[in-house]
Amino acid sequence: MKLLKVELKRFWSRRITLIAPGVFALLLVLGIGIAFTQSSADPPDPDYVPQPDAGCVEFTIQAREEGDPQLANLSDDEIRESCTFEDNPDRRVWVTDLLSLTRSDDWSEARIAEQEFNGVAIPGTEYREAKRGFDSALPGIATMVLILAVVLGGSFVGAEYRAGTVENLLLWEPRRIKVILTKCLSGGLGAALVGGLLLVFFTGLFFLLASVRGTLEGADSRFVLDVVIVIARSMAVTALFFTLAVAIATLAKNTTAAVVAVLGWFIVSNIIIALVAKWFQPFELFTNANAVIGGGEVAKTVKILGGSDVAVFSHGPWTAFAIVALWALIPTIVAAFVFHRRDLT
Amino acid sequence: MQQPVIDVRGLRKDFRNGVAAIDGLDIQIEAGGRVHGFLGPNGAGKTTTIRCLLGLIRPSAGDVKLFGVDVASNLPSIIGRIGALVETPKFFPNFSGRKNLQMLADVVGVRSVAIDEALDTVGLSDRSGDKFGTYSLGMKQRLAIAATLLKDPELIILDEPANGLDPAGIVEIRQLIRSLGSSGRTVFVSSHQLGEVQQTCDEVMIISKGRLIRQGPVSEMVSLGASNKQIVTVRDPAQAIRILNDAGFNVQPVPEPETVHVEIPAARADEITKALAAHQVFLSGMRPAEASLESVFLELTEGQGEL
Repeated sequence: MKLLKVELKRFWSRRITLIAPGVFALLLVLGIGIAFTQSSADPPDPDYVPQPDAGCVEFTIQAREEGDPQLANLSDDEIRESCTFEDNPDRRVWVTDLLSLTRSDDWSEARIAEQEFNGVAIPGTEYREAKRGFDSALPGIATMVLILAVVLGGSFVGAEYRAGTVENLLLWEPRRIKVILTKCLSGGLGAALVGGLLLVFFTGLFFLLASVRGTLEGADSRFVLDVVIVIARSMAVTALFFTLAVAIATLAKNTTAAVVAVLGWFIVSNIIIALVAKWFQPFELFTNANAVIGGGEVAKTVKILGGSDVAVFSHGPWTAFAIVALWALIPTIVAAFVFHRRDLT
Repeated sequence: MQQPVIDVRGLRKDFRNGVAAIDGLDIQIEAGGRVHGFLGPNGAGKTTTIRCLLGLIRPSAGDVKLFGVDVASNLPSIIGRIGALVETPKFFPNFSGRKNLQMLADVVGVRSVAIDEALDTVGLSDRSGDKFGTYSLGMKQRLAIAATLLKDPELIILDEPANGLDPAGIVEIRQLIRSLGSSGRTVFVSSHQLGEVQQTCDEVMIISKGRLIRQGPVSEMVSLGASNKQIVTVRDPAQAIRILNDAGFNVQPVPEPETVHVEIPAARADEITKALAAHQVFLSGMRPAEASLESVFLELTEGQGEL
């Protein structure tokens, strides 16, 4: 327990523990800032439609009959013409891009609404389309957090070898298995917390953005619970990625090896698998990590009659979690064994 | 009979490149407030031996026991009784000296006051808040020594503790090591600075090529090289060497001007005068060569590596 406290203290005392997540948070702020500047509180540039708009005609006639003085002299035909883009540039059908907490990219909704142009309220059709739905953005950010965990994990042990302090530590606690497992546990907990905080921060930023540039529609307690679950699952996977990085850095005795190995795998794994081992796809690290984070399923490729490949269900998120855990556990066992036997010269 | 604090028998360490760094080393050190010097030329196996003592390296063969406990299987039970510094000081460069010590102290629950005392002992209290990376080599060395004191150990193992220290620092460390020995602790110190070892240690072990070649009290070791060499000053050393060689003396030319070294006990030094005077060569001075641990060390390890 004393060693665990020491390692936790060391984790939180390291500059990289503050700097790397700090840079990550700044990038999140930057991303949200870009989304803010690219969206608008006003309706965006209107899209024109080349035919009369039924809603426009209906609402304008209704407004005339209700005594709108600006429409009093218009005949039905003139109203139809005014509701046609080609004849009346003032007639607008607009599309509103919504930053949505709960809607995904393919969602859109049309509704009759009025927009004011040159002081005249013109009814028309508003198309509301969700952009950058939060529920698809959060897992993407969580995957980036995994890379951050690898950097933190690799450097947590790599720095020890660089400074030679692992030797110093063993003069105080010679049980090497305990030492490496404590490093995994303490750093894993720390990395999970860092990852969780970053995801909460991102959620807050996106919530703020959606409230001023989109819609919070549907963000009920069930939605919040779902977000919490995604973050919790991400934290668990983050801890496992940290452990994986600790194991690789222990074996290689440096930080770079861990970062290069995991990042390299992240970049080339899909190519390698597609070329030489399609059967391995359901067991691939990042595929399973994403399935755990998003609560989704992992597919495998099978051949059907005629020789075509089709993707079918392989396993769910719990099995995916077990596979990610194995990815972390097996290198950790190997690293613990090697570290236990290693001469520190 | 009292249990040896350090008991090494038949220690052997072969590295992967086939080099035997230690080759059947035996060391026994009894408990008690004594300072034991551990000497050997570069590559003799001193640091490898110390690493084996501390469980950092697994011996290829032999037994290593500290306080009667087998290091390979049961080091954790006695590690709290041992303070050690191995080669260069190793701490986190971005943490302060105090924080580095605090991290180690927390591993075994050493009280904070012990950190203050250790820093005070090595004269680092004023700079304890500075980052380790900003320390001079001497300060780093002193911090490492402070770390060895934190556990209030019964056995202190120091590998080249005076490395990088200025003359004043060396004197401080010498006094510190002496005081540690006087306080009842067993101190095992390897060093290249033979003058320091001579002044600091009670006993000394000399190893070469991974084997113990001599062990004993410092005074006894020094006396080994004390008696048989006379330093003779003559105007023409070449002629003197020829005469003395012809007379059957063992003569060594030396680079100093007008000087030759003659192997003969002090009691028979008059034979040199007689031999030279018979050839009308008169010496202008003669004195016995001063005995030192360095001369004994060089003699014992002659041709086996540099210091």
